[in-house]
Amino acid sequence: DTGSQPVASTATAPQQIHITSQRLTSDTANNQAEFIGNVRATQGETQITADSLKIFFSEKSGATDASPAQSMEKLVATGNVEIKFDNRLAVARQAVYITAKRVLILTGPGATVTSGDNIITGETITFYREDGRFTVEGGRNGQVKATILPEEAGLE
Amino acid sequence: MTSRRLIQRLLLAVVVVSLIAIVTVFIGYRRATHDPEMLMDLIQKKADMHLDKVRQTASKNGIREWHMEAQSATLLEKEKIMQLVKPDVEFFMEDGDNVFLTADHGAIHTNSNRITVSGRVSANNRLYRFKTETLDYDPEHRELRADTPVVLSGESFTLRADRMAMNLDTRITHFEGGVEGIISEDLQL
Repeated sequence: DTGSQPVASTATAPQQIHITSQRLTSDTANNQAEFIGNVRATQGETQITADSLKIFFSEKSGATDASPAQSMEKLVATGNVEIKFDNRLAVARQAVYITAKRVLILTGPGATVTSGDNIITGETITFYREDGRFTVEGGRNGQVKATILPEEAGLE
Repeated sequence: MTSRRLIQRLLLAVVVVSLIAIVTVFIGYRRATHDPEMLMDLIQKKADMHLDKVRQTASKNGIREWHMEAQSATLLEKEKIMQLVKPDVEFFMEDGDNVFLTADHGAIHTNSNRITVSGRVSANNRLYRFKTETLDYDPEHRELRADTPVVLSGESFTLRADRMAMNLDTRITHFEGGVEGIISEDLQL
């Protein structure tokens, strides 16, 4: 199933990402860093909480030896994942965010996205943040459940 | 009678010992005022050796581990410690991305090449710089350990934590306690 909802994309300069946790393991050789324990990452209105948050970096193109820059390529949040974004709440066992494509993939039995009174539940929910589109997969014997409350009076 | 003679002898002995003591102290004082270096030597003997503009390189299995320069050093032979003022240490890395470390004070354990530094500790490599108050280099595990709060900054991030352990061989760093990172990147979650 796919669905899409208009997303008000306001072109503002991206704010800083603020991350707190109990521990952090940084693996410079493999361009990875993992925040562990009560992880909270916030950027403006968007907030991710999870047991751990692993960030995969890539060396920015055009980076030189003198000023090497790393940029975030992928974020993987694992364990009790809750993501608040665009007035929505996503809950899952794991969430993967591909920064270049701005795609958020929620996995784990009972992955759920709630928007107001509308709720979608499935095995895998893929959310395309650029255009607000999302797909829901029920998994082998799992079901896709969607509760969509129309705003107007509907059939009456 | 004999007790009176005994007392007289005792008094005489006390007077003679006192005189000897006074003369000895006087001679020693005279020598000290005439030859101050001798006094310095006496102090330095406890410190064994005081050196200026010190340089030292440590290697293991023929591979250079670190190179250290310091404004001055005091070698404590008994404790097998060289105390450093303004140490400046370069830790050699396999990929050439060496770590440069400076601090106000330091000490090298001459029997193990272990280094401890303190006071405005600052270290950097190609990607980031970190600052703390004390840092310990464990040559056996090739690890830099800070048990004082550390602030690390790179081109687009800053990070703070209560403690840090950085393995120079695996390039894996563990931060513990109150970890807080701020990433400033042209990226919208």
